Amino acid sequence: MSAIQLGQSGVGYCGSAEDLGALRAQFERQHYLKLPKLIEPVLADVLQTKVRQGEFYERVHEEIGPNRELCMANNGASAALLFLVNDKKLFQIIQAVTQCDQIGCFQGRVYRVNPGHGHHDSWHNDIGEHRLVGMSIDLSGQTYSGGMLQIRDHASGEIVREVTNLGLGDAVIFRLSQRLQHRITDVEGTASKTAFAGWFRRQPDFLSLLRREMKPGREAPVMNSSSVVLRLANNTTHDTAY
Amino acid sequence: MLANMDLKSKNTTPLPAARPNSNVLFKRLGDETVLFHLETDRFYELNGTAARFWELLHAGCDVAEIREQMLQEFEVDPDQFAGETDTLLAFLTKEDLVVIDE
Repeated sequence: MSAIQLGQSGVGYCGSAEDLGALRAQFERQHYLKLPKLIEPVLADVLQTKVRQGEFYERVHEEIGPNRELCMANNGASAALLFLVNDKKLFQIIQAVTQCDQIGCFQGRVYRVNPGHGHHDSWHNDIGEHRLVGMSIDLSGQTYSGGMLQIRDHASGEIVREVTNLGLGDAVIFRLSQRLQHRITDVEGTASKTAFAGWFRRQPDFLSLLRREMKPGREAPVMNSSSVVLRLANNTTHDTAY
Repeated sequence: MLANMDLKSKNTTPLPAARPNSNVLFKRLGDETVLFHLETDRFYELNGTAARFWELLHAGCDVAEIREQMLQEFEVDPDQFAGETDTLLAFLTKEDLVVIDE
């Protein structure tokens, strides 16, 4: 088991306070941190299978240079991923490592970049909308060429870091700052890159996000209770701005 | 006084051995527990009492142990509580959230 791992019942962390301090120093120095096997491998396989069954649509962001990619429509896979990463203990670890403000939620989307299809990312910083720290989790399950996270100094244009993240379920978290910009380099060769990417945000809190994204289904009157079944709002478009 | 009631002696029908389905993700959110079934893509929200039931189930307790433990934690009529746990377990089973070991 790696130091931090997301599984069926949430986050497992087997490191010490000193380990956390070392991760903090690493993030401070590099502006990013790799979290190998952040998603437990068996679960990552299940999620990757669900993502493969997803529908993708082309998405263009003129504000980012432009940015062109395939984005997965809202479905069970995206719901599962959001549910998995929106974890209070994970938030506490990310806050401790990055020294960011209190995290309310993680919001993201699954995207795919195919080589030779004009999919492209441009330099941007993702600042705004209560975003605190970026994170990308690999769901490709294959080795692709390119698709590297680059971080540069905004003022000088100097590329300060280049990060590959090729393992299924592996994550990279990276700093969002007015002084830095980042992009994903073009994917080359024949294999596509697929990732779940987004940001830890100050707000909204995850429960509000969950209630907004899901709609109540039928009631299950058990244990004097308010136990309810919430169904995916399948007919709503999950359109995460970034 | 509800503490230390021997529920096992009250129930003549053997209780099923249940455990959470490995395809169900779950987490505590305040007093509630939210479950997500990876095959049906359904979310479930369990209130505080049901959440405690789930927590004990995940910890490896059998239904008799859960009843015994929860009767020490909640002030509730044992017969009513037994009925509620049966209803909850039936619901969780029907929704494939738990697996019953025969």
